[in-house]
Amino acid sequence: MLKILNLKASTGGKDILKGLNLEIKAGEVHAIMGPNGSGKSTLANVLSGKPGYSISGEINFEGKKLNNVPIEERAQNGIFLAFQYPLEIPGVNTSNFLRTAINSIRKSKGEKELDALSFIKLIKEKASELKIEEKFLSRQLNVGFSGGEKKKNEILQMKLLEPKLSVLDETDSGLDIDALRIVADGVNSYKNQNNSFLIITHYQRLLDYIKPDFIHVLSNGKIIKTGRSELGQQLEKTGYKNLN
Amino acid sequence: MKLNFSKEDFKKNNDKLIFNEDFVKNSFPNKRTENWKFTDLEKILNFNFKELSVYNKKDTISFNEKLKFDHYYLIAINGNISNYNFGSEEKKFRSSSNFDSKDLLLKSNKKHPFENFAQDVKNDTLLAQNIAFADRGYNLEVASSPSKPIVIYNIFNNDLQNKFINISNKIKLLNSDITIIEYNVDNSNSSFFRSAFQIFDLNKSNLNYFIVNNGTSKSYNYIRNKIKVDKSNYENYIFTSGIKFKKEESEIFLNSENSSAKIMSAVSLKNDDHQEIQSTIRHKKPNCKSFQKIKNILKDESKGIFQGKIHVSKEAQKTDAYQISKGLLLDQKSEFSTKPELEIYADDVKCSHGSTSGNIDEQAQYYLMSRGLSKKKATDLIVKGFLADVISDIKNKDLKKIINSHLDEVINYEN
Repeated sequence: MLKILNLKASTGGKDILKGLNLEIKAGEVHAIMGPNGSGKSTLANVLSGKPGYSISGEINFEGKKLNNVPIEERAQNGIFLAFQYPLEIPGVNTSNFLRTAINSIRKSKGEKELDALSFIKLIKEKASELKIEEKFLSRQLNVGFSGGEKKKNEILQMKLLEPKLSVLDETDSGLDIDALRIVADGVNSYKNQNNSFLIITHYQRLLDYIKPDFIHVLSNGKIIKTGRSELGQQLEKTGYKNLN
Repeated sequence: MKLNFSKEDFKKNNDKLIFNEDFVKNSFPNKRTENWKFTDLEKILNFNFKELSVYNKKDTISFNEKLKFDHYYLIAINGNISNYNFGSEEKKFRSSSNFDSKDLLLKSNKKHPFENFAQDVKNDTLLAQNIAFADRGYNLEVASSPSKPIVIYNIFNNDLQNKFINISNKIKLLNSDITIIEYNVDNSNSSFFRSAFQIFDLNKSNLNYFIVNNGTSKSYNYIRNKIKVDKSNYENYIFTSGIKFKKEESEIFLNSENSSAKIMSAVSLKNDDHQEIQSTIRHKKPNCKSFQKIKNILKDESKGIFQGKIHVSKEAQKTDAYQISKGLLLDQKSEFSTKPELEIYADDVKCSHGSTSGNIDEQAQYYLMSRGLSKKKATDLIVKGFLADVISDIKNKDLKKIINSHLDEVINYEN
């Protein structure tokens, strides 16, 4: 599904990714761990098409080169990034935004746009799966949301937009134990053999709930170690220092 | 620029003249006056008009594009009352007022509403002109709460090219809880100068006063309001996108305890639009509240201006006054200027002001686009959200819908 070859990315004259290779197949869950400043969020940003990076190497998504594809087309093609810090957008009603988003994606696929009624039915269903109260949907997008509410809103968007590849950038940070469980359940219930996940995290705890097929350690812009899920537990004990 | 008027026009309201003809003829305020430093009216009029002729025709034309919600109405054609409908509640208005659709205040009581303020007329050309020429307007007095909102249709049509229209209006409320919508529709397709002087007199009343512009207008507008608030709450919502030039000056007097004033404005300016709001809120008594939120979207070579002064008298303890103005500039050439002023003589007050201007938040744009929205859609949502913030606490659903679609229309840029 996703194949990254020798990816280099820099911003503001600073090299951040320095030749990263990664392949994610359909149905797989990959986790990326690594010390602060190793380039984890940059990888997530670059995949979503965030402006401001100069890039070399190759990113292939579903057999197509992604490097110069605009942000919205990546989303329409099935890439989703759950933001580490979701933005507050004053005056924009959450539910209106969600409807605009889902219809933008449906339209790009040549599907019929959802009318108000079917949208409301769908959103209520997805919201209740994540234990999100309905009144939350009529609030301004992320404005005054707690950290947990913002992260839940990201997962709600994921479930609504049904991406092929979901990149979760530290979705577990700032979540209490209950919210973490709800978010993990949300991911697990969406997971199937056709979609994939790239989970960026600092902590093993999330990976106790969402079992990754592979764990990669990113350090200084490169993946320096790849292992199965036991690697997470090992890192928890020994830290990153002894890896090199 | 030449100002044309006949001797009769000049004398009509003006038998006890306190100013001379030359003064009225020759001067408009310019940027050398502090109040006008962001809006050089003299220069703007000179640039856009070779001459202005005082308009004295009283047009009455039927108007059939009324808003689709349950309301009473008053129709002013080029400032002149042509029709009204207060349904079965008309008596409420009549019993309590001298409202008359044909014969307005100027003729009925021979007094310009601003005459009490006429001491400064010697230096105030616009007032002098309005006193001399105002020959149209309404005098609406209400001493009860109507069951429906009242729409004042402010319609402009006919050939008004190079005309100077002078209007004087008065709204007087007693024990009234009322919503009034001034709905401007300019079908004249001409450049004219409208000067309107308005008195709002609120006593034990709640007034929600909306100004909504429909479509575009090539007109130049100067509006001066004196708003007296006694044991009352005054709320003013301004949505005047589409008007080429407008300066609105409001002086609000919070004259008794527990009164309040609110000014909320959301406009989108483009091309060479120029709109200014200048407010002075005078807190005269303790425990009064004022709240102002001004939002401008600016594009092309447009200019948006907010000058807001909060004056708190020595007596006005426990004043709670707040003011914020925000400009969102969509390109490099547009300008947003603000001048907040606090003048406080009481020592136990809560007064604050803020002002920001900036470009569109690219992070927010990226966030929305990462959900599949095109750049234009993402931008429209952010821009609309920026303005819609102002309407979040409007309770009347019909009205909210009208304003919402007005905002959708004015942010719908071509690119």
